Amino acid sequence: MPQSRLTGLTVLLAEDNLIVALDLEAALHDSGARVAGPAVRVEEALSLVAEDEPHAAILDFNLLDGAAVPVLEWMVERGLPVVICTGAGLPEDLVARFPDLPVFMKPTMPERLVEVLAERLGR
Amino acid sequence: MSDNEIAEILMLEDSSLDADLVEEHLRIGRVANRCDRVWTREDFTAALTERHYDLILADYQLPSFDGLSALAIAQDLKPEIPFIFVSATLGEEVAIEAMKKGATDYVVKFRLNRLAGCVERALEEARVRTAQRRAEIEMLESKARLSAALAIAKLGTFQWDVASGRLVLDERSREIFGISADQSPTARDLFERVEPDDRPLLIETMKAARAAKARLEHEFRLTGSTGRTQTVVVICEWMGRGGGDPLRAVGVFGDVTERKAADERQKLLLRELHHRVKNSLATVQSIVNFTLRTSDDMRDFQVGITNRIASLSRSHTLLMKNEWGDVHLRDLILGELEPYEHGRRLTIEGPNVFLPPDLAMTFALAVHELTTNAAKYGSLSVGDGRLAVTWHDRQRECGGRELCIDWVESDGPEVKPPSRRGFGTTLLERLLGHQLGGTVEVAYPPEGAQIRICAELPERSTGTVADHASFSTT
Repeated sequence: MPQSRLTGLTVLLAEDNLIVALDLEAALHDSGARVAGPAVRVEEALSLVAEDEPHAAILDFNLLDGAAVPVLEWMVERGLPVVICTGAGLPEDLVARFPDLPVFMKPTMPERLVEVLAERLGR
Repeated sequence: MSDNEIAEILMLEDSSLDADLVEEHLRIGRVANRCDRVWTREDFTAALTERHYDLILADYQLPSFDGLSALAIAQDLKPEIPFIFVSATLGEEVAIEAMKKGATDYVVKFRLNRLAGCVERALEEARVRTAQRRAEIEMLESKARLSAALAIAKLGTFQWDVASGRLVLDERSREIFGISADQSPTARDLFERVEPDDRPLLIETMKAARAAKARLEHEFRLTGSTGRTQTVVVICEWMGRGGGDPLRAVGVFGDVTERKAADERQKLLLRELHHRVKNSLATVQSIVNFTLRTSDDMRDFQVGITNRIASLSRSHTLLMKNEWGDVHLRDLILGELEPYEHGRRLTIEGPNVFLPPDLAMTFALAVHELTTNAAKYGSLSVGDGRLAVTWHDRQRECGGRELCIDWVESDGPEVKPPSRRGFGTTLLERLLGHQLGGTVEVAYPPEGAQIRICAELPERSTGTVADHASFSTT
């Protein structure tokens, strides 16, 4: 993957498993992105999106204080690409609501998530 | 009766001649038998005590003994054995007296052609009695087994007469439905206790089973008077043909609320386990990636990854021991430092502090990283080096309380600050900074690395664990 695929872009990272978050962060840095987060709570992710205005997001679905639905909605409403990386899978109602949402089951190679984001961003 | 239908006969008879005559008549009458003859009280008693007999034939008058005494002995020892008097002299009054005292029959010696018939009838009657007694005993045993089974299974019984509506409930059924001993409930009273949502299906199922006279097995919920919802199973069979033999349902009720709850817990536990395993695998994958990024060569990678996975494994064991509850900080630190504990070079001290499971794993990995660094470059790399890990909680200047953990290395080689931030301190910073509103200060004075970790503690009044992602004290 080219080092610079996400250069100049800010990616929101919401992941409550800190070790996984560190790995994803390293992969995002490798691709040239600036990382907002990692956020471990929905509340924290929501204040980050407001502050940092990310161009895309990698979201774990279940965060410490609940499901990341508000964050997902915030991104999708603005037409910003999101990749979900979850251990449990997405509830059916959300799959129906967001049929085009790429959902990856843990564990997935972080580089793969970055790649999908880059494609969605047209890079 | 003994094998091959050969009657075992005890004959009380002093005269050999009469005995032969009796045996001859039995032979003519085709009564297959084996006969023991006695004529004293002692032998009679001994024979009855020691052997099994199907029939007693007794003379009424004996030189040393008499028939009525023999009857009394037989009644006492083996009342179930038919007892027939065979005597030359037996007046009607004596005969009646003998029958009253329990004799089965009597035959006078000059009418011995009656004997075989009498014996056969007595033997047959005894057989029927034995069979009845056996059936009664089996019935009692069966009842005892059933009662034990009902008690173990905590099942209550019921019988419902469909036409009259008469309902008989045992104590446990009454308990299940909350019906006191002095109430005479009807089927309607039971239905009224069933959850309204479950009533239509129960009625439908019952009707279908009744029409087909099929065994009914159905589960439904009760809205108990106590307010808790019970799940009850009913199993019953249909008996009776109507008319003089009224149609009735006979069966059991069982309260399966606890079993249902256990099933639910089991399902929940499996889902939870699945989630944890996935999470662990994700963690391992990330550690693999991270270790790969920071390793100089494959050997370095192998050592790094093995030790980190071992640390996760230790945390798992600790969590398991605590039934996946909170883990004591001391146990967690000791788990990582155990290989260096010998030689009194370690000080590990502090009050009781507990970490919730998710936090415990990451924190343990951070301690593992600090330990690895100390063993590679710091005080644990030499035999005399010392390490003190101590913690205390204190009041924060801005209010609230915090936990401070001090990691102080000493007596090791002279320390130079490392060129890059290690995985351990990064983990700690992120863990504490993001999740716990804490801080990590790292200093490298020449005498040894010093790390101070501070994290917010929930207020004592909030109980053991206020937030599932924070330290707690008890």
